[in-house]
Amino acid sequence: MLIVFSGRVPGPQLSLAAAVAGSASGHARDERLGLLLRVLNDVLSRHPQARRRSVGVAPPLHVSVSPRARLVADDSPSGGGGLVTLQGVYEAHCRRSGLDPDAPLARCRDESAAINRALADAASAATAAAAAASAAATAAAAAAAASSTPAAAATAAAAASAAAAATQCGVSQSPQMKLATDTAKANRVRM
Amino acid sequence: MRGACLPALRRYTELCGLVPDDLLARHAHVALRGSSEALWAAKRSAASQLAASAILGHALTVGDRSPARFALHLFSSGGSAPRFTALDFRPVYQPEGQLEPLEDVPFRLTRNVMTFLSPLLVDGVFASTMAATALAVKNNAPTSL
Repeated sequence: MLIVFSGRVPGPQLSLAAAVAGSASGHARDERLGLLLRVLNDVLSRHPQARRRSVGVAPPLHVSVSPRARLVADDSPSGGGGLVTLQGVYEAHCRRSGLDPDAPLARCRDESAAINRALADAASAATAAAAAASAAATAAAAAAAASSTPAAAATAAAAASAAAAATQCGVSQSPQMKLATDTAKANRVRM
Repeated sequence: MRGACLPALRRYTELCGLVPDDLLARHAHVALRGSSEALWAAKRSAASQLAASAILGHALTVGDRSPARFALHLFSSGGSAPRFTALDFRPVYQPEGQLEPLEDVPFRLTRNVMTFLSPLLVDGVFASTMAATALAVKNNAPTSL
């Protein structure tokens, strides 16, 4: 949690805020990050192309006054059109238009849930089709084992292998495959 | 799968219709009172700084690029140019202390930002600044870091 007390201090145009954070590790992390960004700024300033473009990153301004308290730069908007976040621009638009800022997010959540439900239904239907194909393959294999006629046995074996392949691929039976399976069943009944 | 992707794309397009893509451009135009010179300076500075923060954020695995973490300062103060800064610019760590793996989307360049910068700045200043920043870090970082 970060508690910020805003207040302008005399001196250069720098508005400081005293921030009380919950842990001292956060202070050390911010200090290390500020040091890294200052080194990166130095690196960028020594490169001609980057220096010509005035490339740089703004390190966070903060002064640690105690292990659990620090002064951080408060760059909040000072009236007019100062610092504004992208979220602030969007919320201002929603206020002007009378829209709910969270409406797109809520709609996205609902739509995603509907899409996930549809995908889950499709997956369960594919699983059921694969199970039916597996059962048909088992029946056809049994018919092939019990068949005495070589032609009927060949037909039943072909149906069994096709149904097994369909099971592995997770697809339902094609009409030709279904016809071969039915032929194998008829041969078994006939026998 | 293709049948499931098409409704998702249609719904995404519908969601994009809920948020206009020129909010940032309109805000800048109103805040700068239509001054073309100030608008150009703000856009050019924003493109340069957004490009630097984008490439460095990608290199340092800075995550959580939500809209509340990007601030636009249109008015120059104390001799500083208008700026587009990334707030809370810090790497994201996993609970185990490791850096988060790189995300699918490396930096933020959304519809509103692209409309604000215009294609001229996106393809020109933005891309060249990213290249210059990457070159500077690649060439000089071993001697400094």
